[in-house]
Amino acid sequence: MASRTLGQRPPTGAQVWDWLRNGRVFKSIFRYSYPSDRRNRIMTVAKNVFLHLHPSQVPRGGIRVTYTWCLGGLSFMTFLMLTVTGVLLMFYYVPSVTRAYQDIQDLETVVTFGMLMRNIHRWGAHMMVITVFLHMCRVFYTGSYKPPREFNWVVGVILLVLTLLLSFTGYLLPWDQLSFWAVTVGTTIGGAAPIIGKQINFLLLGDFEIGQNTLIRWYTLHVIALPLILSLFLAVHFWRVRQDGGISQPM
Amino acid sequence: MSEIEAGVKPALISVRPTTAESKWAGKECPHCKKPISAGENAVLCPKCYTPHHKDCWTTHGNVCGLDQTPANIMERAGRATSPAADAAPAATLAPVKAVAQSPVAPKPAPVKPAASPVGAAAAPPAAAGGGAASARAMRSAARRAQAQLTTWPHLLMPEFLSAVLLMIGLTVMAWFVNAPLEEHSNPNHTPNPSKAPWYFLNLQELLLHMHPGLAGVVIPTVIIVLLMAIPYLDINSDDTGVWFSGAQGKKVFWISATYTFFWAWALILADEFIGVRAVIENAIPVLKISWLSEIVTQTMVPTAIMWVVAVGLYVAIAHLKPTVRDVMIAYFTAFVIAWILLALVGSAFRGPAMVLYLPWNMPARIA
Repeated sequence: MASRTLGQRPPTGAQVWDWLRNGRVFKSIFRYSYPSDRRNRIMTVAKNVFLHLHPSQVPRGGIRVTYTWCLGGLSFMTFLMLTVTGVLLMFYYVPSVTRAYQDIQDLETVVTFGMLMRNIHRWGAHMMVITVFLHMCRVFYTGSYKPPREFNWVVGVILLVLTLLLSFTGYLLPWDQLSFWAVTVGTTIGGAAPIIGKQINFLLLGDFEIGQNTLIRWYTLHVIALPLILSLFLAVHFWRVRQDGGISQPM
Repeated sequence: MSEIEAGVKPALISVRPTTAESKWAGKECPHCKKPISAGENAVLCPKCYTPHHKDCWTTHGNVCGLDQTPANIMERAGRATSPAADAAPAATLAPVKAVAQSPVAPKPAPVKPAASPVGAAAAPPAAAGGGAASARAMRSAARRAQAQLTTWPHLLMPEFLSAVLLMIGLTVMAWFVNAPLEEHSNPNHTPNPSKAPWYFLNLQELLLHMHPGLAGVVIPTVIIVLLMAIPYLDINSDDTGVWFSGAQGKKVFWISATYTFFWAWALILADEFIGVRAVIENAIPVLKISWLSEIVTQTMVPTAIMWVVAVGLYVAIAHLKPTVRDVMIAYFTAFVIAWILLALVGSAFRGPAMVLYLPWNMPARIA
């Protein structure tokens, strides 16, 4: 377009649009036309790394909103939001008993949108516990755990437990009275296990009482270990939904 | 639309025999405006799935009467079907596809059983249509014929919209409601009451009534194991995808929900105001010895009560002659209701020293 000679008309909007949409660059990124016909719709899903866990076609009955209530998708979406806000919070938070509380206060008062990030992370964590639990109820009451989906139900129960653990490990990090005593109560419950109670308690705290060792343990679990394990089981969970026949529906 | 589709080859579609069960039976053909009745051959538009008479489709230039989508009818020479399948069109879908279409004389060989699961199961319709196997085949054929929608946009759009709504909702809430942050932690000062996060308050509630090992470790472990065991106990998949597996399951749900609600409250109140443990220990003073108390009044008695309540639930639904699925619904519902109720009691009804208060009379937390 730089080589436009004098007197030539400037390109119309439609021409620019066409040049963008059918140019080599765009076509190298998106191989298929806008998915308005059946073939392109199927190709769009099948050839996209983010979409290909979906089947390219789904049964009409299986995707009624009043059947799934979108709960699995909402749980996953909440997890993604928690990951993004969690990374932003990690920029400002140091898991040290001398700094942790001050860092949270700075997040709330000094950091631009720090309070908003923290709030989204907090309410999102509660939200995820609720949506995962409701998702389990939906799957149970529609009988969607039945063969051949039995193993995916087991994976789902593991994901529920991991969700609770993720939420609970994050609870300690603000290092205020609420988190300190909630974790005291929680770990005392774990320490009441028969026979190996004391050992479990020590494992959870890294000490005989909640302190720096506990904070770094729970922080590491919260930001690395548990999210990785959860992602692993999520991958299995999504994959098995497809492998075991897609969204359940009446036979 | 036409720009995008220009240059695209017309799709290939197949002829489908119409039976009384066909979804398009009785629908109007857009070309001749007459209904498509059983026995006639039909084709579906590849884009809008509108049914047409097969002959109308070809005589009108191989396009859809509604949106003019072009499509050619698939000719598969040599894939004629057996006369048996022809005689019983209701039991077959795939094998008849090419029958009226193919000008080639039907081969004497019947349909290859391996051609497709549908064809395989439908091949012996002479077996009078009886037997579980053929019933299953019919079901799976009906299922296959169920409309398949493309994932884009029919699934991805709702997913995208729900994700956007979630983001908006969560952001709006986060904008107006701040996450709690109390004083700096102080190991020497215990707030009263000290509570776990709300999703563990059900466990903390149990802790008030029984041995901590039972409440905090054994019961959660048993719950997790039982949850995982559900699909290995209830293995009949016939009612997959039906809410509560029908009316009876719904009835079981309500019985179990009411039963659990009543018993959970009754047990909490009884322990709060009568003090089951104190009553037993006063009646049998020897049980006041610490290790005996742990075993008998804190472990055996609560376990026995829970067993009685659990068996009582089965008795409460026994008159319905419950199936395995009904029993699963009863106990899963008991878990869900008890779990939510106990968490609710722990969050809203427990005040200082974990004493029961009505939420509107709740004294302030002694921080």
